[in-house]
Amino acid sequence: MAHIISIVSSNGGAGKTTVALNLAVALTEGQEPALLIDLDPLGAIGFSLARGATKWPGLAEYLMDLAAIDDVLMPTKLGHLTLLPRGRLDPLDVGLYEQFIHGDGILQQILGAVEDRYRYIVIDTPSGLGQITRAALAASTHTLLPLQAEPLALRTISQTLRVIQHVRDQENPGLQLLGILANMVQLKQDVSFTIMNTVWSTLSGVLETYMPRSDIFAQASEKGLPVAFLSGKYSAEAIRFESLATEIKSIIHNLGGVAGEFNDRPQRALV
Amino acid sequence: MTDPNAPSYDLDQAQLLLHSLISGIPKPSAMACQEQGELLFTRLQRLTAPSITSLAGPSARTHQNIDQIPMEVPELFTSWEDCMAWSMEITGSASTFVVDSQGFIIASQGDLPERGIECIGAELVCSVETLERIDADYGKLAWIDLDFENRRIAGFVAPTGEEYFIVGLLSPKPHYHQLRTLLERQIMASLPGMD
Repeated sequence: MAHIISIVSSNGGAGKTTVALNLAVALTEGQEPALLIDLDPLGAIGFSLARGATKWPGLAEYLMDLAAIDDVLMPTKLGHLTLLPRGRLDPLDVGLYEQFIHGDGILQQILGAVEDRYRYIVIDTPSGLGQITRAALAASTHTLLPLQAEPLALRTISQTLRVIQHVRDQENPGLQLLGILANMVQLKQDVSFTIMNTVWSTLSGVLETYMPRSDIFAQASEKGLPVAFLSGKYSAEAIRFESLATEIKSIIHNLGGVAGEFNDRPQRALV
Repeated sequence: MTDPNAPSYDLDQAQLLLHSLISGIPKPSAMACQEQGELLFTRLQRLTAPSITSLAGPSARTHQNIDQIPMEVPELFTSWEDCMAWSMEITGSASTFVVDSQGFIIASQGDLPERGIECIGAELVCSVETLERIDADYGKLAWIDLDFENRRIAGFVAPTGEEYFIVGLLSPKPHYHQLRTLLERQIMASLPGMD
């Protein structure tokens, strides 16, 4: 059974898509199969990979019975990583898309059909706490909450936590919060430093790994790549995502889940 | 004197929620006596809402919470009865009806006006023909939405070849606007198999 991780936040610009994409890549680098689902009706993953809104068929085509789910699962050059794009959704139909995703158990159907093929399924959700985010949480085993190191994000974090709690209590008792991922941290800036100081001293469940604000994310976005795929020296940010993947695997393991590296590690020869 | 604009982050509630969400976290002593029931969020369904007719105006009525509406998309309808029941439920209409292109009511359901709806059906059909004369280039009329002082009548004009049916809604709640595409698609997909 796959570990299904929804990346959720009430705030736009919290870095959900960047986290989802780079985390999925980092999880896959361990040779464990992963699926990245772009549940955002605006198709943020596709845009992050520098593809146009009508480039890839995906969920929209599946929802409209225009394609089978296997036809819209898109292999990547990473081998173990598969994408499930949003599809060529007409932006005028975003409301209807939200109703389909939320109202018909469709996400559970999709996940049920594919989850035995993957160790990890990472779901990128839209900003806000609307129907799609709720549906993603209801269908997930875990959730990760990116927190932009800015005042507004910190002041609104209770809203996201409240929704996670509600979904866990009412719809999905198996849902587990992996933790809060501090994102876009700038410790040399007073405000960001104060935020992080408050977060670390006040809140439980803050991951040890945090992501700095860095130009490299914009460079990667411009080229339509995960940070680990940029040419040149392997970036500190890519290493941070490796650390994040390791920390998440460890948390899942400690929560009682099975993370591949702990029990599927093949014997290797050194010389 | 305390600066009222000093950085202030009231995270008690966040920490309380985190405590309930993450197992193995020691309970913060400051919150030891707080129970989940003390969360400060207000659930809308706990409010005693005034009746829809007593609300002041359209702006107040538009706050219908669409998230509370049963939104399951059913299998394709095989009868007008099923179609009307679902349409009435999701739009919160007082009643629904189906009128054919000759102006005859062929089915109705719900809390119908005492004087019946035959006249409404016939007038709707006349209205469709009148309105389509506004400009032939605009194509066929798809929806009628008549917002009277005391009630609203809305109708989806479902074409079947040269003829059509109007699926009418009496007093639908304002959120029905957001459901029009869903209604259209479901009805059009079902039409070939309807009795």
